[in-house]
Amino acid sequence: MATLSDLMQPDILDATIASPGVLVLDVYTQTCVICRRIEPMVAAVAAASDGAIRAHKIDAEAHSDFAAKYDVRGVPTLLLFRDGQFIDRRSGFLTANAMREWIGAAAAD
Amino acid sequence: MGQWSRDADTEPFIDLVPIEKARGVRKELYDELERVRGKGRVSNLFKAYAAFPELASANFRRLMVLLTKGNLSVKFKESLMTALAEANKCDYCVSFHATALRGAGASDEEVKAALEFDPDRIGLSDKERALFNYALKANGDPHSIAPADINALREKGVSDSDLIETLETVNTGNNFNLINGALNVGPDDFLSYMKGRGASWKQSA
Repeated sequence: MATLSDLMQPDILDATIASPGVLVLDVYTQTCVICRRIEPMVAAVAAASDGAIRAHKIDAEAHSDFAAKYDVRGVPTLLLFRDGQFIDRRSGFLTANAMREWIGAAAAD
Repeated sequence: MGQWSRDADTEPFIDLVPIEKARGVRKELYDELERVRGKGRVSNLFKAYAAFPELASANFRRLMVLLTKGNLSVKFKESLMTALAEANKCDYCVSFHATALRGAGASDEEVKAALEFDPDRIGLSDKERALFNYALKANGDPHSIAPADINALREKGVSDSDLIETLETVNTGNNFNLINGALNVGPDDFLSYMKGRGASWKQSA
């Protein structure tokens, strides 16, 4: 996929996070230029992982409670979950390769 | 957030003068394009650019310098422009640069790696693989480039000229992607490889 599906409904968001496996949530805002640049990177990493990595995006302004819960102070922020547990974050732009290294290291801990 | 190029059945927003109707400075440009690229291979991009023929000629000369001079391989530069086209969601540009990348000796798997922003799976030198990631980072957020990024490149033997050549490849790719996207310029009739990528993404999304 070249774009990420947007998590809009709270119940779907909760279920997505709770699902087993590795999940990357790309927290963005509509007006963030760097967010547009990172989205294809996130999508490519997930697409090339043969299902090992799931990825979605979530609008920080539309879901301010979620952003506050995870202490998102700027966008883009990537939140990494494994088996429903939050394990790490990265803020700002990441290349796909840097993302693969980050996810590989963080998810292996 | 982020649309792929418009559907092919939507007309371009600018007049793409066909080869047989070109006159004056526009014809000179088309003749130069055919001389370099082959009979009939005047791309839609340059047909659009030719609305300002002198600028189009200058841009084509600039493109030729980028692709024929410098230290970095054409395979590297076309890999990068293929990746940028994917990032910019430009159907036409993916098809054009993926075709050029195949022409530079890349396999289908290497083209796929470029579309997945993964230079480690492309047959490039260590220096070029590092420059590929640097270019994507510069494109994503130029102000995020830190001294450590440059030092890491220097350890791979990257020169000042290599940096300029890489960044100019990014500029060129983005420039062409923008012209094609903003003017709804679709793929050339002579392209077939990787054509319709936006439609395939929409189906799989």
